[in-house]
Amino acid sequence: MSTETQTTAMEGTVSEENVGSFCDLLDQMRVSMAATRDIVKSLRQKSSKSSELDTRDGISLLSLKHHMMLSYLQSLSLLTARRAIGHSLADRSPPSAPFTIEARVVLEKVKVLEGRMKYQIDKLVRIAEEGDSADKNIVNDPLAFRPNPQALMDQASDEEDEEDGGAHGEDRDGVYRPPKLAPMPYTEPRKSKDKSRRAPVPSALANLAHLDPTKPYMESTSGLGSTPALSSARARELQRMTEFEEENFTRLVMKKKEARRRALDEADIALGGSGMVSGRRGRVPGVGLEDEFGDILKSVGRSRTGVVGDGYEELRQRGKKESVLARSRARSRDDAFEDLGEDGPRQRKRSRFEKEVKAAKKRASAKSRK
Amino acid sequence: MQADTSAPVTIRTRKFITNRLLARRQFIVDVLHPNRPNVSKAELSERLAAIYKTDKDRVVTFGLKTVFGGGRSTGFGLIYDDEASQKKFEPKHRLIRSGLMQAPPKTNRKLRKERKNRAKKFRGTKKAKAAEPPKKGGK
Repeated sequence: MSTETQTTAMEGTVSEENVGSFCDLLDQMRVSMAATRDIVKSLRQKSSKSSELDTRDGISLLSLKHHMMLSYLQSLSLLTARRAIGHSLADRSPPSAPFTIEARVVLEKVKVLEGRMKYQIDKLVRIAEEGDSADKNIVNDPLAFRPNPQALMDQASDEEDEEDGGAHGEDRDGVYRPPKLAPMPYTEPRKSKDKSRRAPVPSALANLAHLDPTKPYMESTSGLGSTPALSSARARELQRMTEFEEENFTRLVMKKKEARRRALDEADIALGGSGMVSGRRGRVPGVGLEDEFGDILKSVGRSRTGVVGDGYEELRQRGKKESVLARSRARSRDDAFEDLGEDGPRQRKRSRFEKEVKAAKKRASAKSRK
Repeated sequence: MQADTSAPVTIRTRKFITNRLLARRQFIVDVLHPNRPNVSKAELSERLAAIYKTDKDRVVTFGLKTVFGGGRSTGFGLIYDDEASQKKFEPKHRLIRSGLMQAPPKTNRKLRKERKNRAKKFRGTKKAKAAEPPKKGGK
């Protein structure tokens, strides 16, 4: 009522309508204040009597959620009001920005926890809603069974594998690659250290190249040729030694016995032998035959390059031509002397598949360059 | 049968490399000497100097080996640009062979070894004192 007297004092400036609305507003405020006072009274009674609001045993997650939400909203509204007035947010006042942030973080974590407890909460809510109905069918109720984490794991792993495999395959190239399920024949890897050595040319045919007197050939006073017969391992070793010496501009340092052995073997090779004269005492007799004719004996039935690539490639190669033995039977005389003048290893004839692979690679590289 | 030492000798060089780092030219020498034994190093370096128009002191030959059956020998040859680089890069034993360096005086090998064995019994500075031969009284 004091306000009414005040307004009547300021009659000149304030109009009747404004006064009326102001009075209504004040009445409203009074009524709401009375209502809040009643509510607070009742709450106080509740807290003193019942154990609903008793927090000695801790606060439940759900009520925490509500309380946090409330306080968060309050602090937020206070902050916005302060900002609206013009105070900066940097002032250190009790319900300031850090508290808002804290409340938000707590709410997020509560949400995660609630997600974990979702099953139980749903079940309780359902029971509360429906009540204890006698004809509840357990089978139809999806919440009736206890969760089986094992089933979850299997499902998750299967899904993960499929998804990952599919995703990876598609992510990498965009090209679908079928799984390699076809059986492959097992081919042993080449154990020989000398991987670049091809099958030696049969010396009987190769010697015709330089034993032909109609062609010019190198001669020496001793009558010995200059081309050593690389039939045995010892011969190859000696040749490697001489190559090393010439290339590195030194003479190899050897013991007397070693030097004598080397000289003896070189003499033997110059005279056309196998170079195994100075071998061990207990050497197997007749081993010279293998060294002498080894290249002929071994080249029969074997491809020039040996084992190539994987098993499919080998099979493909096998299907191309017959073995040397089979071919030599029906060959005419002209065919046998055809490739005498060849020097060095012949290039493998490119199969159609290889040509196509090469063409595809060229296309791919051309495309990438563009 | 006396071998004819004045028979013609053919000299061929293979793998000729100009080695700027060591200031020399290096190659493999093939000597064809039918009907006569191997040529000497001195004669070979003379002939090489004539072929390559250099001083015969700059030519170094080594590692000559005759192949089985005779008539052919293979070895290595170097031609240095000047004496200074030769003295710098050539190993000592070859310098001694060609006469550009004096061989160090030959020490008595036996004495050296005995001295060493005497010193083996001691450690540190006592080695030097003990290395002297023991003074035999009244010798």
